[in-house]
Amino acid sequence: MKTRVYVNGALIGFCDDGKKLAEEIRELRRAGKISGQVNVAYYADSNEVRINTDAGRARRPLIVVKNGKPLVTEEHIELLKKGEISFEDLVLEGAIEFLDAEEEENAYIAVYEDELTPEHTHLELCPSLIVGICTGSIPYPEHNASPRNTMGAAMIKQSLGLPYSNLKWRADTRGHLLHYPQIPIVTTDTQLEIKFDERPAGQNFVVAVISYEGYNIEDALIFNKGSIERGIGRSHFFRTYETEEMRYPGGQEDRFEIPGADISGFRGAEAYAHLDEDGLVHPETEVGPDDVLIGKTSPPRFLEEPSQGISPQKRRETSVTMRSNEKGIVDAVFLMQAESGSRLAKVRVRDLRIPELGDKFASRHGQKGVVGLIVPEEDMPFTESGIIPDMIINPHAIPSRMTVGHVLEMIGGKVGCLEGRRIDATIFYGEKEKDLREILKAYGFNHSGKEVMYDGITGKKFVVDIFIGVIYYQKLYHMVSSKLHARSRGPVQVLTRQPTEGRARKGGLRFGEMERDVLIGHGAAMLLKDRLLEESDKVEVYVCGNCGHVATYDFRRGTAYCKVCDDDSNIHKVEMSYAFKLLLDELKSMMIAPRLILEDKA
Amino acid sequence: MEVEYVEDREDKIVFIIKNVPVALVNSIRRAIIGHVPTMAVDYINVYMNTSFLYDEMLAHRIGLIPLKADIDKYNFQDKCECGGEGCPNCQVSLRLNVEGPKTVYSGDFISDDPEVKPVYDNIPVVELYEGQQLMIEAVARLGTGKEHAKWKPVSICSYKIIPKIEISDCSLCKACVEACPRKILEIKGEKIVVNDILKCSMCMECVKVCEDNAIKVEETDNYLFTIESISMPAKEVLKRAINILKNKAVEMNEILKHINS
Amino acid sequence: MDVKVVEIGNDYVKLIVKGEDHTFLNLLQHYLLEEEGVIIAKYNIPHPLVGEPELYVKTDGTDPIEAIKRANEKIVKVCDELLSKI
Repeated sequence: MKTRVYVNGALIGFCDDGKKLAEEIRELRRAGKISGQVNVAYYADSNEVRINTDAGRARRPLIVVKNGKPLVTEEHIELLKKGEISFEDLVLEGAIEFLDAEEEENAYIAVYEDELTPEHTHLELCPSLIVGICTGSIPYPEHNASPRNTMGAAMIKQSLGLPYSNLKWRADTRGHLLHYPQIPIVTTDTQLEIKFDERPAGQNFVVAVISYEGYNIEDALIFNKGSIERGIGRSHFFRTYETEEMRYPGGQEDRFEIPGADISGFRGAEAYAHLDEDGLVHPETEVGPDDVLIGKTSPPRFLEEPSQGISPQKRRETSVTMRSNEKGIVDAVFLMQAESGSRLAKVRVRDLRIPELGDKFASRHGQKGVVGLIVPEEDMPFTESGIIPDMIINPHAIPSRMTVGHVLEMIGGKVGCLEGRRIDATIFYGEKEKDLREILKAYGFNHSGKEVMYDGITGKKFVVDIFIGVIYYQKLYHMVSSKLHARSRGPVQVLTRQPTEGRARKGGLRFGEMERDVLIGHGAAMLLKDRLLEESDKVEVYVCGNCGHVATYDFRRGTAYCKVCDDDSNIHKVEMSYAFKLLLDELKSMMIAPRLILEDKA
Repeated sequence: MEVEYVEDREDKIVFIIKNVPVALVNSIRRAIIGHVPTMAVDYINVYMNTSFLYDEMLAHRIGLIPLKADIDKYNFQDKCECGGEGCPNCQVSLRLNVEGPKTVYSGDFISDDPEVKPVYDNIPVVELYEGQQLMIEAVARLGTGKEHAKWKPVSICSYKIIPKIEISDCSLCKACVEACPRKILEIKGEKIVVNDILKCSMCMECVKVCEDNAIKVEETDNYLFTIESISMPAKEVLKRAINILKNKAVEMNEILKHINS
Repeated sequence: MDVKVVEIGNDYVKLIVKGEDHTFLNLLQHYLLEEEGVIIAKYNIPHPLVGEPELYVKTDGTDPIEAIKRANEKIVKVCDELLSKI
């Protein structure tokens, strides 16, 4: 059987010995005779050779190993240290090569030099490069269960911090800024390499691990009110609203201005009270829901026929308003002009977000939680040196999740605070737990990290010692003020007459299939009918009993009659959802005649 | 009840208080943190702010600056004769008018009442660069720690139990001496003795390690109380707190007098 | 501080003490339990964010209000003694 050869997914030919072909291509690549971007993999079980050259593959560097000896030697390291050669020189020499995910299937990679055998093909540059950027930012990840590392890496991407230094001049649709970002005390080499210290995204919290009064059950967090008042977790949320003053063909144009009373859609004079004469709101104005930010008028819509005779059509009001559930202070107003003369206005509004019940925080180990209670400082437990924790987490969060890295980071953070230095917690070669515990003891603390604590409410000493440490926590962008939403009755969609979707459109919450199953299971038939008809899109239609089609209602005569049968004797009122009537219409539009067979109610 | 001072400075007192119930010590601690009034900025009028910090961030920072004041001279704003409108009896204005480039410190504020001023002059508020200007009137009023942490008169206020350690005759294996993280046990002659009972953290490591069960660490009714205060002398904070507790008891009895009849 | 009687009997009283928290009530509860004749003395704050604290005192027949008054007087005495020693 000949081996099939694919290049970038396309079959180009056959060869006899696929393994040899793959090896030759690799040697050519290492020698620089073909591009370094080529990666080749040989699959013995399906007898294929796959060659990939396209852009967009994630690749990582590895040291080439031949006969159990790495091609990067001690002399190379010396020259690198002196600065006489660079990393690129080693790649050109063929001592280091980049492997993508497919070629890695054929590689036998050793992590440390002393475990090399003749079968190995590659050697890791550094064990911390086995994982990517976000996972590499987790301290002590080798002590965590892997799903927690996955979740921790995902949540690092949702953390608020200092995203860029030019945020005063940017107009992003949504933006965040943490007021007092701190660099983590327990850090990793990966974090130092990506210059996380220049754009940190979290703060070091003093955390105690106690089951406290039941307010931190199910991953809720208890916060110290005094810490929040001093600025922990404070952030700003920015939203940019924009609109364009377009010039239409034919000379008509939009205009940024305060609309006059003669404009159709005029909201009343007070609505435009914040605007300057140029129609734009002034910076540092406090704005609330539905306030006008940019006053704009547009020419009348181009209609086919005038609605009621021929009358001069009025300009329309097309102002930009604040979202109906947000408030804030206008931060910046940008006005830009294109070469064609049309102008673009952007208004950025900022809203101060102080941590409140419902805001989400997480450590870097996948330990996320929502603020459950904010406790005054004097009610919080305190240590004998008077330290009050910033946050209390529930001990039940640790055993089933097996995030031992979280516990180690708390001890490491405590040691870092005592010694005044940062702790290296890089994957596979961070500081050892034994050393950390000995340093704790040298400073007079219990090597277990537990301390004697006193209850703030009764004053008594807790019977058991409490584990308290310092750990880096991040504020995630899921804040309750962006999510709180309520609706009893409100806007409906035009097409289906059902409640609109989404908080921004004052929508309803979907009563989905599983919720329907719940009501069926309880036998609550009337409640189901109520939820699906009365609360949604119920409509009463006239149906002809003879032909089964929907009948029309003649306003002039005051009766319903069926156009198909031309007869008004057998018309009945039927209750249905508007979505069903829409289904009938859609079938009719496809030349199918849906006929309803009517029966008396049983 | 006995009181003995270990440290007695203007801004820090550490004292041993003996034979008192824990509820009393805790209530004193809570009264100090939450009920002793101080002065802090609660409202700012921003006339000009071209610095890089937002108005509300500046307001937050200025509010946290501790102020020194004679609190008996001022009323609480909601109980003042002006009805909460604001008058010289219930509020003080601190004014700031600076231009960059410089770092604005707490000492740059000029108070209408020279007795009400920041405790420390060197708290950085904001950095101003060339051409930036800050013109602010900060209005300070009386408040308590219960309302907001900026009105807390102390930085540290806590206590710990002074334990009783009894060591009976033992094999002198010195395991407890090495296990103690605070190094308070030592060998003197033929016995193990405690060299500084005040340092003991009641971690019980010595008890866990002793194979002869010769060492016993017990709770007592004696406490070591530490107060580090910011805006007024530590002893004054303590006295005010105790008076606040006393007045609550007196007030309750006054109200109860009318109920009983 | 505002004190209202919810229920009162010969040997028990249930009060609502508005405007107070653990700072004073815990102290009062301790000294009430030291009073002669008091069998049960307990204060309760139903929820940290809403509601008002309640105080419940049950005695062996002596007047419960008098017992509270005596406990308050004890508090005043202890505070004065402490003030004199500072």
